[in-house]
Amino acid sequence: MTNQPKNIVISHVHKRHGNKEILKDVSFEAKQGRITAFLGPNGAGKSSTLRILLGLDRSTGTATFGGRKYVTFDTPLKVVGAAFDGIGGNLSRKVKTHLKIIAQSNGIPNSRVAEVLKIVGLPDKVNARLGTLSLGEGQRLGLAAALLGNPQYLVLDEPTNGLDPTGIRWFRKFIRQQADLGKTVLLSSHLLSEVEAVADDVVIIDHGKIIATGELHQVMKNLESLEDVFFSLTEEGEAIDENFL
Amino acid sequence: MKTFSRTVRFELIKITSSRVWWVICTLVVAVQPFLAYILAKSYAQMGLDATPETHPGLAEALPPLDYIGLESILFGLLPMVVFGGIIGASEFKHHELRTTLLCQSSHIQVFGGKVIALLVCTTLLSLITIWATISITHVGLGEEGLHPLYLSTIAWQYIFFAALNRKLFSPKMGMGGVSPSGSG
Repeated sequence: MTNQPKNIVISHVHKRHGNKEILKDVSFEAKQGRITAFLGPNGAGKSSTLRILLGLDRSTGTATFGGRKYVTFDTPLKVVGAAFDGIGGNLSRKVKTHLKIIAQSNGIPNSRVAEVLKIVGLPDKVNARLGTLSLGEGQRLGLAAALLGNPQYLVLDEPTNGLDPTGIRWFRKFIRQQADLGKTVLLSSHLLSEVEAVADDVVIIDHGKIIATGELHQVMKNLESLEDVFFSLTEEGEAIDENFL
Repeated sequence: MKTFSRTVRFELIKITSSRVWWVICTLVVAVQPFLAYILAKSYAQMGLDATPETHPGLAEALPPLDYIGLESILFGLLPMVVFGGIIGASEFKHHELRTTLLCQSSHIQVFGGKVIALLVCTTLLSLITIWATISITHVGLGEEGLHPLYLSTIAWQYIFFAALNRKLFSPKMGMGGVSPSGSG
């Protein structure tokens, strides 16, 4: 696996919790200018992999952005933007304050706060308290925080969770624009139809092991949808088939 | 060093922009001196030489003038300890620690930044509130009290000791939840 500039490379990552092996030799690459979807059922190891990539958890193996580990960046938000589920801030704080605090931590000018709120469609919520935001607005706020440093890399964990149909359509357009700007986008999801509409490359993980990786059309082969691919590769698919027999 | 000072500022802004900070400030800056003033007025009414013999309601004689007011500052100790605990625990609510560690990925720097930010906040708040409490006590004592601004050497000494006591309590509580190995 080559470590291309501006690619996200995860190489031979292992993770154990006690006797249980959470991740087994996970290796894949997310390329610059492309949207890589990281798919798998709940508990497959998607979030664990992303947490390791972002230096939040420890593991063996390497996970790098353009050849550098997340923990080596002095101002990581200017290089990597990450969004996870949940607000990630004190609910009594205002949206503006929340983003200003994050911006300040990485030396990002305050003027960027208004810009990112406009990008994610939340300019009217600038003075709203975090606790008053809906699930979808919280997701958009997470994206706004990820975009603050105008980073090269975007790592998004279940970004369409809680978005309404308009929000999902907006997200598809937004993420495509980001990739077209030459950014490296890695997003995890279990909403296969959403991913199918937007991804260039696909990585499928199950029980902590990568079971398929490649360009979307290659992975889909002759199967009609990504859902068919997913179920043909995972044990859940076999179990569902057996239940119907 | 630049990164670390940015981390300290980040933690300072996080603390001062939280609602709990302003609630605690209100409690210790406004309520504590107000209670001290009421107590001082009752002392002034009794006279500073009052003893349990002259006033059966008293458990013991009033302290010497330099130490009067120090009993009122105990009111603020509990809110400050609670403050430290809430600040530490708040990192685990709504994944705030994850946001913190995404902004500054060095766990050691985050830990150090938190300790310094809490020390700065509690030192400033303690000094201001303890001084305000003692000063207002002497305002309440009227002509019998010390000068409310200058006080006395002993009074100032005890203001610093009491502030140090609080300074060590709150960060200890705050750090209970956030160790360098924590990852949120």
